[in-house]
Amino acid sequence: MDSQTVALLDPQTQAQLRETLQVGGEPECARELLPDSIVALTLIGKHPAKLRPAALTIMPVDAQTDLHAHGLLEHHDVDRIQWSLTPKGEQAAQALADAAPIPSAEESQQAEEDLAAIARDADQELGPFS
Amino acid sequence: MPNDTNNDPVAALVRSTQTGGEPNRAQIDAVADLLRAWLGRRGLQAGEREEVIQDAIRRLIVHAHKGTLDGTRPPGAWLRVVADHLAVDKLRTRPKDALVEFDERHHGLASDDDGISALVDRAAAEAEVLAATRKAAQAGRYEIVRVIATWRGLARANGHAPSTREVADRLGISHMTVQRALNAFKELIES
Repeated sequence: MDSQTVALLDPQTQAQLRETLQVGGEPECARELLPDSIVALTLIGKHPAKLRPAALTIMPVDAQTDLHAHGLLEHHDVDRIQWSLTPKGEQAAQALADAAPIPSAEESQQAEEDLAAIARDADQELGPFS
Repeated sequence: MPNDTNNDPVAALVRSTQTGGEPNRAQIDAVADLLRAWLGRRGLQAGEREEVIQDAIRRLIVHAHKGTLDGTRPPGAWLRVVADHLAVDKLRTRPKDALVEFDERHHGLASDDDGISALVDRAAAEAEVLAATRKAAQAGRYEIVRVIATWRGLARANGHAPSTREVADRLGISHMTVQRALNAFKELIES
């Protein structure tokens, strides 16, 4: 997931995702959303629908603020799940997830190595799971 | 080629790379020093910070070679975002990681330069901030939205209020633009 985030910040990918929003009838979002917000919304779109509300709660606060301002998220004053996608947000998230480029074999390999390194570091720090 | 390392080391490294030569060691070191300053308040251990710096510079050089950097924006802004994300990745691997306790006393001790940005913290009721930024977007005042969103993100990641200059660096805009946006946000909160 972390390597995917950085890959989605790639300038060409960002341009492609903004074009997707433009074509989808959201020119202001295409033009004005922060790069991190587009990444966050794309990743939300990659979650199954039933997991999206939970995933929204751990979205970075800058993306939450930006996406809410643009009417793509709604905030609710409840104890647990506080965020939801608006209908506009659902549409945009799905479109972005569909448009996000599939990593190449080399990129996937690099991502796996990155994740394996994180797991090794965690094992070292936390001790073996038993 | 003029030596503009002192002015914008990131741009200098990008230009050097794009002209087809080997990245200049002195220029890489200058960018690394800049990243160390930017990442200095991230709470990374020294080894983690150096790994993040090396990874971020490697990605910059790769994109400079490919010609995929956005020529309309300062490459330093892109590099800052990438380095920030890599730093957050590192922090997330720790067992006691990025949960930040809101500390009003700490945030209230902002310097004069950060006096306006501290207002964002004191107006910290979630609903108030969200309502004001949505109002700004609906009025087409997107600069306010970007500044406030970025401010909040940096405050959460660093554990303390960012300076207006940090917000400006992150967005690739001027310090004065950030201050104007924060002033405008103050009016929205109070209206």
